[in-house]
Amino acid sequence: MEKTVSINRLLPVIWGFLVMTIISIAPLINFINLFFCAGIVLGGVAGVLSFNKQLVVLNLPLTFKDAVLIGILSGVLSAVAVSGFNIMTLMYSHVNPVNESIKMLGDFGKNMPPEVTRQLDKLAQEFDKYGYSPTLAIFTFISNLFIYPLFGAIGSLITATVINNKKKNNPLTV
Amino acid sequence: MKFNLKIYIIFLSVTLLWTISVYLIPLFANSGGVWKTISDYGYVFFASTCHQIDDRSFFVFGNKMAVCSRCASVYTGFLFGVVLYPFTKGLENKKLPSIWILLSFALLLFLDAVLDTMGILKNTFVSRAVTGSLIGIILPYYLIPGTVNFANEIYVKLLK
Repeated sequence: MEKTVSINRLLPVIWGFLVMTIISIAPLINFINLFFCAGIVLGGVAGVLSFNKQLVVLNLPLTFKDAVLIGILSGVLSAVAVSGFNIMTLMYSHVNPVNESIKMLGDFGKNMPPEVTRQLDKLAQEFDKYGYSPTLAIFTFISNLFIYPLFGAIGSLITATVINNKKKNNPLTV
Repeated sequence: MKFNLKIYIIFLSVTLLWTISVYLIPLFANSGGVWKTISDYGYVFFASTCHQIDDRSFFVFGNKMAVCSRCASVYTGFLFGVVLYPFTKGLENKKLPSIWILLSFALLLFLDAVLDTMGILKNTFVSRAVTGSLIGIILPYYLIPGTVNFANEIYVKLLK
């Protein structure tokens, strides 16, 4: 009789999502993301390690497509959560980051071309009106939706490659 | 054309596009109209991955690059590693370098940043560029075999 195996594919995605999101939003810890998005890459690593733990018990091989899927899904979920969190933080902080940036540039004596000043003024007005800038929020969300799954997949792919290489070189150990 | 070569060309093209954009964004910043808008949004796009601090960034075409000196070195090193890969390792060879090489380079990069933050050892443009380039060059040696294997699995599944 064929043995029924059950693998929880959601759990690794949740692990990956949690690692990425916590590293991205926690003060000080989010410093890690400044190194080639290391926090997001680590999320991909955590997801695949969690998935491989289940596979080892069932003596099943780790496929690259499962690993990449874990990285991508964790990244998409995390991009949504981080973007939402950033908008909430901006709305409740009552800070207009565009005005702050313009002020900082002025302090450094940087003169901006008029069209840039016009764009920045438009964004600053949005912040004053809504508490956040819809234009900037949408663009940041889209860029997060691209960057988080990409770097998550990089982390999961490297982990899967290393795990499979280790298994191939030393099949008795896991 | 061999399957692995096709995957490698796609990988190289994406890497080239990503790395060139880091250099083109400051160039577009000098142009007006739609190019300037692309440049502005390019800076916002890369802001998700990098602090973009002026004092820690290279300047090209009179403008700050889209990412800091460390990230620019990682990306440029990565492109260099991808270009070198078929000549140094071959596309059919799926054997990985030791994971310790990757971890050692990652540790160097981490120490360069952390020691500076803690005020123990100040990093420089050279140290950031060297540690960034090292990790950038070695990364494709782990990523390309994985990408080729991944593409193979997808291809086999599609054939079934």
